[in-house]
Amino acid sequence: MEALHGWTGGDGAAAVSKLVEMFEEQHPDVEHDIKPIGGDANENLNATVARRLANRNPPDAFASWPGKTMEQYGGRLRSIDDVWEENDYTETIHPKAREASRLNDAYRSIPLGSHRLNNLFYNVSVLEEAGVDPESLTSYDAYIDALDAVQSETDAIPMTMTTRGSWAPLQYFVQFMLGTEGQDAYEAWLDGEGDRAALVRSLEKTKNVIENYTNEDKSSISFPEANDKLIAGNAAFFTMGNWAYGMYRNADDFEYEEDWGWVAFPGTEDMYVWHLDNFLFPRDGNAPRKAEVFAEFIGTKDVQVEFNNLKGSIPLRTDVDGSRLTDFLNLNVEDLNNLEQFPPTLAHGLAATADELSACKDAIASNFMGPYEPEATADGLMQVF
Amino acid sequence: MESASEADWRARLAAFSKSDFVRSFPFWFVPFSVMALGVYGGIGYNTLISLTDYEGFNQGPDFTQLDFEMYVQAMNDPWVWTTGKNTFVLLIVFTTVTMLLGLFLAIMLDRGIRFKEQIQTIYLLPMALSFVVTAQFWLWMYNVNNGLVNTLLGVVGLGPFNWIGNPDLVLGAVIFALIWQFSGYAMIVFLAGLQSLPDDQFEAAQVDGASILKTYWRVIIPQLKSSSVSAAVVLMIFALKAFTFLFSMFGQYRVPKATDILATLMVREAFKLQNWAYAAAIATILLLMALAVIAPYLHYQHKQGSL
Repeated sequence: MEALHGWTGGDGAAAVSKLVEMFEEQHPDVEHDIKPIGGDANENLNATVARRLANRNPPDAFASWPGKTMEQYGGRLRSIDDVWEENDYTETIHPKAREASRLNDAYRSIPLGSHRLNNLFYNVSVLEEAGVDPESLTSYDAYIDALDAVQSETDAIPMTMTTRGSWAPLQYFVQFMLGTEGQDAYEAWLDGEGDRAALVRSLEKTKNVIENYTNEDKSSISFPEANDKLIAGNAAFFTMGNWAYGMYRNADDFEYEEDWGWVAFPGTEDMYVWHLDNFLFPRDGNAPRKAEVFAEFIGTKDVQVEFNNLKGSIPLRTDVDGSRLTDFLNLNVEDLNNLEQFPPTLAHGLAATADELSACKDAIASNFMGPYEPEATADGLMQVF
Repeated sequence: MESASEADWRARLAAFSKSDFVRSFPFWFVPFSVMALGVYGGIGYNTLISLTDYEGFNQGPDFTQLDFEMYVQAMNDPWVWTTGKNTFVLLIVFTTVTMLLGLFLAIMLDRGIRFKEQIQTIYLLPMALSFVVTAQFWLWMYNVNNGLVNTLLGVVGLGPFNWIGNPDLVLGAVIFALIWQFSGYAMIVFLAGLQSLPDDQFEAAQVDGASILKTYWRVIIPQLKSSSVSAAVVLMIFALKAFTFLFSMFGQYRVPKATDILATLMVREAFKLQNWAYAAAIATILLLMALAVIAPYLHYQHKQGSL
């Protein structure tokens, strides 16, 4: 049973080795080869999977993003409906995740964890020094006031960011769009009925923040390096999927609510911007039975809790005992189970097929990675959907 | 009559079977065929794929309908033109500057300057490093706030420049880093060429009253043709391999637009979007471009008899 995944760094590696350990304990008779293919954002993993699927030498399972990203693998995936039904995962896994795990009328993948995208992390002492109350950050204007306060009252960078890859400005733009234009405007654009003016307004706001309130070296640093600035007290705010949270937990003397805090990205308090990590199951693998055992294992409560506690993501079983999770994750679980707006992430593949995502990145890379041209970028982005 | 010609034929066969060609056959044929299959077979199969419409996972390539549709599509794709232009600039600037710098260093060393061995080692060392290391290292060097490049320029009152973030500078910054890595290689090739020349020529030129500059320009450099051919070919191959450098620097196949080259575009089309035939067409364009750049030079050298 061969399963490929891309979690090689820090928390990901620790979480996966826990997963492997649990698998060996529970299924000592199942030979397995659960192996990492390293690289940023699944880049090498996806390339390896593409090569092996094209060469008719598929692994038995591989980690990827479900939703629209999964569509490209269409005819090459098998149904694991039986696993879902026999284990009642059709009842116990979050309905949104159920929907995203299906393709062509069958379950062809199973979710392992969800990261939330609309986070605004902050450094508590920098905000205190600037006199900013994080609870007040519920709109774009309030956020700009806070950035101004940090700029005038402290030596810290108001907002630390990375623009090394085009996915990052794309993600920032989506955050600002959701925060200022709302979910309906965003999804209308994804459905091909976008309002160009709304895109331009959102891009203008994104540009304003990137050009006036961020670190100069954003184009040459990665997201962990950007996040380090917040941990070191050199920056006030950082927005990123909550995989950034793993870094805070690993940092020495850097505690939730004492040293760092979290609010939803301004204007997105009622949303859980949605991301999923799933295992997908190709047809014509070498060990279809064992792959089913693995799929069943991924959905169990213990795996969902143990893996996600280490990875910093959120389990998708709706029946986990919240006290088994860390405080910060538990807060997100409550939002996951109670909020009603779940806009899917664009930069992480739920909302767009591989071709569409690539076209969005083309538009960003052409006109929104310095110099920033909202009008031209909006034209490019409008053409995608 | 007939038996005579048969005997003749037998004698010929016997001679043929004892010839160097046949007797050496087992030794060169295996490596030759492996190489031919790997290199020319690869090029041929790639070209064949580029004539199909092969994409996605569900069907293999269909070889019954071959056309140039992918090449037409490529010619109409603005990204092919952007990346093609960047690839061309990279090839030309990197190869030319590296060779000139290498030649200059080789002449300096050949003049017997002090600390010759140390300088030789210092310049050659970067070539031994992996792109993965040098790319990350230059990313730090180019950091706009605390990178060494801006710190040094700051001493003379210049900058700071946003080497990576500014689309007008980033290609130059990448080319400079590549030159840094490979000028040592060009130096060694030229130095070997220089040291194979007999000292008599310097002495004869000196007796004739030629200046040092003139000696090199008229007598020595013209004799370095075969060195420069080999240096140019190898450097161009390294320029095509800039993919590895860019991938290591930016951590993904999609690099800033100003440094995007045909190789990165090709990998994106193939392994992110499964447009296999289109990616194969881009690969063929890349090959033709490299050949077109080097062909006039090779032709000239061939006419001069140094190839």
